[in-house]
Amino acid sequence: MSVFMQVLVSSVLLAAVYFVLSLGLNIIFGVLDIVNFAHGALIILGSYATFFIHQATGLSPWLLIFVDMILVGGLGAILYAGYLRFTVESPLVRMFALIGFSSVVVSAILAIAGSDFRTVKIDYGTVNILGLPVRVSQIIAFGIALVLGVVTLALLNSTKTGKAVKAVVDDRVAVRLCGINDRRLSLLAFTVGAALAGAAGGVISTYVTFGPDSGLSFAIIAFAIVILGGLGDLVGGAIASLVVALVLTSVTVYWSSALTNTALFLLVLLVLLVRPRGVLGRGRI
Amino acid sequence: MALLSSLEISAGYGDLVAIKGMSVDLEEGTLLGVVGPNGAGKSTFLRALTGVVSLSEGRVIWKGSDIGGLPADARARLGIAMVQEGRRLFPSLSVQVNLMLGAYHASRSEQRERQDEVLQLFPALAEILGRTARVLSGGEQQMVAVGRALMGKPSCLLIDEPSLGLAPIIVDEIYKALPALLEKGVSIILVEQEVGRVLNIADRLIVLHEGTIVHEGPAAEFRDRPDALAEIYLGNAPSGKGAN
Repeated sequence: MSVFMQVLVSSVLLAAVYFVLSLGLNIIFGVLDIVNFAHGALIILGSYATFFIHQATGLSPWLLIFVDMILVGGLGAILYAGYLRFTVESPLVRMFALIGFSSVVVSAILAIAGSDFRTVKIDYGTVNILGLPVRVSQIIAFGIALVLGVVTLALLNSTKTGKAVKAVVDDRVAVRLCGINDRRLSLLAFTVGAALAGAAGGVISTYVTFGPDSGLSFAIIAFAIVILGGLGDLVGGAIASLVVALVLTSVTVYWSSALTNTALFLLVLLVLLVRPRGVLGRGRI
Repeated sequence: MALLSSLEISAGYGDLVAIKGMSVDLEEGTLLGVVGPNGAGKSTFLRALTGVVSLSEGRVIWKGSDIGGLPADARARLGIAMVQEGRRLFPSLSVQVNLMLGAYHASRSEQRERQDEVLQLFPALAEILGRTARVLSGGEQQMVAVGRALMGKPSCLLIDEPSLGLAPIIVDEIYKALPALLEKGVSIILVEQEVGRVLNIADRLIVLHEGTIVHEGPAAEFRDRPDALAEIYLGNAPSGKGAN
């Protein structure tokens, strides 16, 4: 029973972090129809930015999440405005450009920081939740991830710009005919998506160890969540985050961590077969 | 000076040329009907005027200025609104948000005022403001689509096949709103398959066939001689431009 409770508590904490991992990917896909193959690179940039700035300045890694958002979001804006917006008619070119960008990021990190695995060390001790010891840093990460997720959803649902962004997901041409500049909304969506990837990198840097290639593992989890939740469905993504966290934690605890990716792909294949529009049946195909 | 003119415009999709060398004037406060068989280029003509489809040749003139290079959103902000074929609402959003997005650049108080005007025109919408557009009936959708276009306070409204797939009683409701709009000074281009309805309401009429204008003239001319229109419409020899 206590092992099961530990799996449950860990999964809930991890789910919020996973949700933020997937949020940027989902927004960019939903609004722009871009499968962002550079998502992992943007996440890992956030992780390294947190690590190095924290090391150099001693600033709180939680505060640095905002710096990550500005840095990675800014880079995303440059990437979109400088290149991706010209590739609307050429998804294949765009895919290779994003994969190329990822390779450049990983190579640059390798050249600058080496191949060592890092982690942002913070130790605030533990607290008891339901009789189980939980690291305080995990609870803070959970809280920040939750705030990021809730704020993003609230901005999308309650602001004029957010509603326009959702309208672009529905029908871009109709948005234009309303006199709304969809090109600006696209730039905004990519920037916000990249900023959220950076934030996710910052949050996860306090959770796990990471190296230059870790972005790929994070991106795989994010892709799985987006598919399980339904493409473009953010609420579905939140539920899928919990499912993925539960599955990955259970497999690690009850079987072996070597089987996590296998379990993840089996889960994705199963959902694609029986519920291709995601857990809530509202995603795109 | 015409409010909106197309000068020898051609447009299409890839290698397909859907309209060729079309020159049309829309005078202020009038309704121009556009009829023709399927594939005649009626929708493409509207899409070219709004900038949804790029011109391969020709110019679009709005109040004396060439707007052919402007994107669709900029043309909409000038006052050219369009109700697309199939309504094309934002299905995941409520009726109220759909309407609000039609007046995206207006202040909140302006949005409320304009929404009230739309509700006066289509009172049935008042009861479904909170409903998601996805679940609306075809008639409700069409009212929201016209309402959303009007939220931008357009000087010119382009409507593409408003009767498509709707029960006649609903279509009557939509058509009832058009004279009120003309009275308010909104100029209208109405694309329609149901020729009889257009003839009843239009000031002028153009008939398209295979992307070109095969006849243009006052709608009254056809009201008196429906057989002449049938002859043109059924694809007989082009009759050229009629009297002004």
